[in-house]
Amino acid sequence: MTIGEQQQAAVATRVDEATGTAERVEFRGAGRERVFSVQYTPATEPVGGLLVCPALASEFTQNYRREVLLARRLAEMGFVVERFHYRFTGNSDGDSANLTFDSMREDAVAATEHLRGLAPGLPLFLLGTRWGSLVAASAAASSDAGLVLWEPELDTARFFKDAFRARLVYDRKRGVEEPLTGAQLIERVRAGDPVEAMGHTIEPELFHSSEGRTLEGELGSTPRAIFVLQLGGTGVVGQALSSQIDRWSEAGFRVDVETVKGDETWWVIDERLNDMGDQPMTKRLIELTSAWLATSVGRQVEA
Amino acid sequence: MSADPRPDYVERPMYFDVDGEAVFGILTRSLDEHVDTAVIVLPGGGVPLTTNRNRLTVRICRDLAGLGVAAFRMDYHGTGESTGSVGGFHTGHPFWGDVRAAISRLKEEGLTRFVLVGSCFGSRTALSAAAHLDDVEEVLLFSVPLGDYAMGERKSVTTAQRHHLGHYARAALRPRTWRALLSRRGRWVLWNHARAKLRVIWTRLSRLAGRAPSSEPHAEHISPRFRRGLERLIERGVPVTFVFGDDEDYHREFEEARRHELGEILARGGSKVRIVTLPGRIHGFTTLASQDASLGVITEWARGRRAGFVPGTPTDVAS
Repeated sequence: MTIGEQQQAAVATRVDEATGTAERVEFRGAGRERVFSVQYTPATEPVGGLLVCPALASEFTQNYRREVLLARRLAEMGFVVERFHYRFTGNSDGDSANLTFDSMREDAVAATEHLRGLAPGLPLFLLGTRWGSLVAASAAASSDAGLVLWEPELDTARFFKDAFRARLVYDRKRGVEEPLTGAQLIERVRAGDPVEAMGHTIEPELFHSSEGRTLEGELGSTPRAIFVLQLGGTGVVGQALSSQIDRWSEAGFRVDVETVKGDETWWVIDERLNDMGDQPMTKRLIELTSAWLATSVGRQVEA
Repeated sequence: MSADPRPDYVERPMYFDVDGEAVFGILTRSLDEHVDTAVIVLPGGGVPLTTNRNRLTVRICRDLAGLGVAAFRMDYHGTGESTGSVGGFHTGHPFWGDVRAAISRLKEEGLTRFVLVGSCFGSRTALSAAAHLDDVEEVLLFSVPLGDYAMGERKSVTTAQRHHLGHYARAALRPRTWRALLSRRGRWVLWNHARAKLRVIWTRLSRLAGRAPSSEPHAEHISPRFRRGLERLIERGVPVTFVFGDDEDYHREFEEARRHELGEILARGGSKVRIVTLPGRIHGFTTLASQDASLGVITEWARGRRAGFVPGTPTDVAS
């Protein structure tokens, strides 16, 4: 097989025998920065489209299976769904050191355009989890696409704070005598040094390109439908998120909120908490999200 | 950016059938070399994804392709992009059927020689697959667990095997134990400890009574499945490389077994058995140092293979 033929063959497809939905995995793009992408298409006439913007680092792996299962469920319901890995992350091409907030937004915008081509004229939605919610908001800003936010990060600072706090706890647990504090780590990455957190590298380019960004700022002021799902043990929406929802509502956004009970520790390395999609929390997340999306496009959810 | 806009590798995603489920994997190979050997990378249960933590498996596969070895990363059935479901991971029930199907699929791509690289649950899967499949020429096992237990239960099982009931009685008197009852996770941990101890007691009583052990994997310091698998590989002359961090329980358990129960088997392997000890802890690849060191072991292995290297000395290789 020639190189060209090998590049052509960089696509895998399957059709689910039970549901008739199709999946297509490909490395999209050219050159050294191809994007790993998975598209899900329904067996019936599409009713809408959803782009899934993944989280980052530990949060990315933790949420992976949920996003796959959600995509399959939505395809069964008539949605065209697209999932992808940002360039410089996951299975996509590129060196992690080149990852920036802008490159992630570019990837999300390009994937949205691709999705629009697969579901022309249909309502579009973007879903983001944790850090992915900031990217989804940024990519959606110039359109009227609806948003689904799973445990959104209200600002990028929170992501770094969580990562560095997890590292501090882990360092103490494994007996590091004078572990660096979050403030020291931020100083270090701000000065241009990559910093490690739970086996992931936080690169200076990512830090600088995302510093000061907020969910509210990225999304802008164009009113749209938003569905917020807050995870956690208490089943109560946190104060900061609650205030954000109030501000959106006052600005004319249609915001629906649900809480899903369950243990989610995004940065803690604990095999016991590994979720292969069989946890009640995951099932509830998928159920609530698909019901909201179906209602948003005027469909009834089939059991 | 290099003048050549293409990457140095070609990647091909693929689905293949395993008992009616579509299992997903990605084959990475170099652009211009004729390649007949594929390394199949099998993740642990902590991050059971084609990427692994911090893209470690992606880096392994692309680096191997650069060294003229094809590499295949996969999601087990019920994980990642694959279909199906898994209730959990148990080292006594490795997914070697997934590996068998992967090898069949890779043969269609013209690959004929197979090497398995696994970590934790993946290393038990690699061992089991190699023991069953003659196509496997070599295995590299990172932080291989010797016992049979469900993921997340290793501590409770090894504690149950090593400590008497008095240890549990003393633990029950500690305020920390009672505080654990206040959280769901704490209660789960305590329940696991109690259950593991009861299983050990039951197994030992069953043996005393002369009853055959249950068909379910049971608490043993060295799993009979592990021992049998290793023996089969040694008999077949399949090179086995064990890789541990010098500061992890897996290494301590292995060293203890090497001095006792496994000593004779490993000695029989002679120069086909290699033990590599890396600094710190590599299980789960939770630090960049452990990722880089592990990647280094694999790429060194590939360079050695290309140079006609025959697996090494039975002595430890400290890096």
